[in-house]
Amino acid sequence: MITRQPFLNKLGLILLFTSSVASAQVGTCPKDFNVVERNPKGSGFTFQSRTLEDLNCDDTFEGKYFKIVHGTNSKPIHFEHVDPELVKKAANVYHHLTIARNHWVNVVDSAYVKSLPQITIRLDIANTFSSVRHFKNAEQEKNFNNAWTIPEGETPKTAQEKLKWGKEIWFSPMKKLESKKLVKSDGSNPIHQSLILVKDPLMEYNKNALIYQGLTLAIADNFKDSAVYSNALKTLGAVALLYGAIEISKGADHWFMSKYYFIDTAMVPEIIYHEYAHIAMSDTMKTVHSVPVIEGMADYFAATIADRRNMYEKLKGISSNKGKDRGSKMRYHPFLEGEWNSTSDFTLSVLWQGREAFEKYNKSRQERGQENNVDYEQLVFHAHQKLDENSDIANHLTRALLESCRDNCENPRTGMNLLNQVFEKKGFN
Amino acid sequence: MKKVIMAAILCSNFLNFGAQAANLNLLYNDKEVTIAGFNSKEKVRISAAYQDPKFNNQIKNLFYQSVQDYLRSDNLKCEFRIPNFFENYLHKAKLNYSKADILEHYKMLRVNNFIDDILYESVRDITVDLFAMRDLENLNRTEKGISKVKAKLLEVNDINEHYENFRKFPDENSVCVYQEFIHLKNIIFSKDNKLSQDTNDFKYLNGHALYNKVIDDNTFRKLEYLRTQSTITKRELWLQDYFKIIFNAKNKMIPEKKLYVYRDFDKENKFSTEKASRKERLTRRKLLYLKYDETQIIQLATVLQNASRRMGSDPDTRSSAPAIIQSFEVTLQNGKRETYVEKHELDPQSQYVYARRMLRKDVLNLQMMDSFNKLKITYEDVVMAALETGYINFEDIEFVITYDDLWNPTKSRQQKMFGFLFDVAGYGSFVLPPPWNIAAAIALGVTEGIVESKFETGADHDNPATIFE
Ligand SMILES: [Zn+2]
Repeated sequence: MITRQPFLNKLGLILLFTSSVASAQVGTCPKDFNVVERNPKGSGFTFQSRTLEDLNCDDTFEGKYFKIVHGTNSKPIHFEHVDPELVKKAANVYHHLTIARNHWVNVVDSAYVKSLPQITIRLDIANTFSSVRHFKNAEQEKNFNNAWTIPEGETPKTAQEKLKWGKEIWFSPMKKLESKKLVKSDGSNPIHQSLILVKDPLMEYNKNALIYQGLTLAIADNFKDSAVYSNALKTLGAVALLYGAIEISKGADHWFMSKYYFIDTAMVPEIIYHEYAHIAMSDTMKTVHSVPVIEGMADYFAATIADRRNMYEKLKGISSNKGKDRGSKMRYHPFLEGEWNSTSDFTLSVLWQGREAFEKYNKSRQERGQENNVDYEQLVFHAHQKLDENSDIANHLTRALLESCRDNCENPRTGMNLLNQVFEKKGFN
Repeated sequence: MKKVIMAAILCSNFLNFGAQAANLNLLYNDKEVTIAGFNSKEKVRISAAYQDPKFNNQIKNLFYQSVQDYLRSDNLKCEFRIPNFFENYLHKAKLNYSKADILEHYKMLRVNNFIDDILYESVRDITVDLFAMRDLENLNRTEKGISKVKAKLLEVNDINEHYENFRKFPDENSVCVYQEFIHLKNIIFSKDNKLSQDTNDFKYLNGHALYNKVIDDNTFRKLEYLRTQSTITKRELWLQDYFKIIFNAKNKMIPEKKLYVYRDFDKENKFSTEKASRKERLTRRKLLYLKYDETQIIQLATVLQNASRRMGSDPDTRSSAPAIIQSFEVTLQNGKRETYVEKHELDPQSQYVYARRMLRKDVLNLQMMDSFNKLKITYEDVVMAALETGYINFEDIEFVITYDDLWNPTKSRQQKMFGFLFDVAGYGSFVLPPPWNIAAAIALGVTEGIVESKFETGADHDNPATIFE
């Protein structure tokens, strides 16, 4: 008994040692895959070999932080999946999500992101999200060329099938659409809702008879004399006229960026960063519907990670999309608060102009032997904590940024003055 | 002469610092980044000549002590006391104390920011006068008086009365040289019985007083020196007034929560030492000292403090969002009355603009006060006063100085309009496929048209959602 004691101890130690090695191996099985790396400028890109980190050791795209699945499946995509295109997408999404998460953890230093459990990413999902059933029937409505971040949820207590899901990112399939054919379609029109939102403010201006003057300037000369123009104004109002303008105008082609519209969202790095930003800010800004402030904030953080002026721009064979310009000179107008303007680059350009102003100003402080007044990314990050899905640009976003500076700027007065100057340049007054 | 109003807000006795020891640290220059009194080459030479910080500090302490002694004396118009005290202290400390040495020391004091330009130039000029008059005192020479009788001039100028205080040259103790000289200069009448603008009248009276032995040779020489060579005739600011501002306004409004401490003084904003305007030979800071007294400077700075509070950026104040409240009492058809109240909270940009509009109004209100009568307040004066009182720091200047763009626009309307034009090509994104992004673009084109046409009709609103523009 006495002699065996040290032997047992020794054995115990060895066992402990080997088991810890084994668990470490289970946690991380890094593997190299080709992913999309954009050229610094333009629509070109290359496939580059990158190591995917934190993968579980089961030859699937499931890791510590992400699980990449196909459609409505719950099992992760296998490395040997029959569709090589799907594997390519999975690897690309996994890699760029890792970049985004690392940024939020290491640079932004977000406690919320650090605390997030694994999230599920769905590729090639055509279904629409249902807040009570998770997925709407695929036959009901099909989505293409888009990406969403969906909130966590569960089926109601009365439901037969009990379902529960966490935050997820969905990438819908790509579909090449002929731009001109879209003109006459109605049905699942993504701007439909938006135009209803536009209608009211437009009608408000109608009373001042200003809309007519405005239209005169906006619509081409030959169109102005047409019957559609006067009829539309009389019976349908200005919104209908917008449809009509597109339908009738033969010269509208130059408005279109290309004959076809398509976008494979899972292959565009900035879109992946954008969707992850929604997840990272979902502690205060719920992703239930898109609002210009939430979209702009996600655009901003995507832009700091991607560091390119034209976000989401065309990518050869992957996307024909026209990008958002973070350097846009557009000035503020209340119409920009409309939900339909979630796609405008205005909010991004406000935040980005702030970033450039603070960069310049911090540099001049350094020349005077001063510390930076504030780390601008932290300023924006703290501002998101004062915002939610009901926040607008002119009242809430600007005030959140100012208050964030009050709390975080070394010299709040100059910082707030600088922000006010940026707002002024962006036409808020 | 500047009137002092609202003196209640400043409780010290301006005229006599004797009771309490003045905070001499306020003499330290933290306002003027560049030197106006001599060039940069001279600055380099002085720095090289005075390399021992211990020695420099000793000189500084002796000088500050001299100022302290001067401030304790009864009559602050006796400005010669400062170089006199200083000379004595140097002598006692067994240091060189010649005129040249003292003038060099002053430069060292300025280079090391122990004093500012205003004090430097004043003590330099006073010292030059002091030594010049000593030289004249020792000149054993008989002066020639003027015997000729200008009856009309002598009728309106009583020599005996005018030169009463010069029968014995002012002792710089109970009677001060500069004060008496300026007094004399200001009571001379010309032959048409108006205050004399002709320096020849003064010259004649000096000569005639000597001839009549009302004054002696020494006094005559000194008076002629003061009349012709001294800077005193051009001085616009008495040391007494300078020190009142230094001890009662300078750095009196530094926020509790200090936001900015400069690290490299030479690289800070040069606003205060720039010429006030193209026509103005004075720097902005000197102009402030000449134009206003300590109370007025505090009042000017308070205008900016109020604006800062309204903006929500005052370091020591938490400001709410401003709101417009209006109540309405409506008489209904049945004769009953119904009251309701409307409250509109301002968005941050409206708040920023509102604060600037109010700032302008506050300046206007100040301008209408009696104490500011005949003084044309400029916005630069307000900024300079805020800097002097320490309410704003060097870093704030470049931001604060643009507040008046609202009413002194530097941008033409054309430029503003140009900046407004929507970049239609900037619309569209990965979420909205065409043509809906195009519809959005055209809708914005409409928007643009509306706003443009508003410009045409004369209304000057950029953002129709704001109240204050
Ligand atoms: Zn989004």
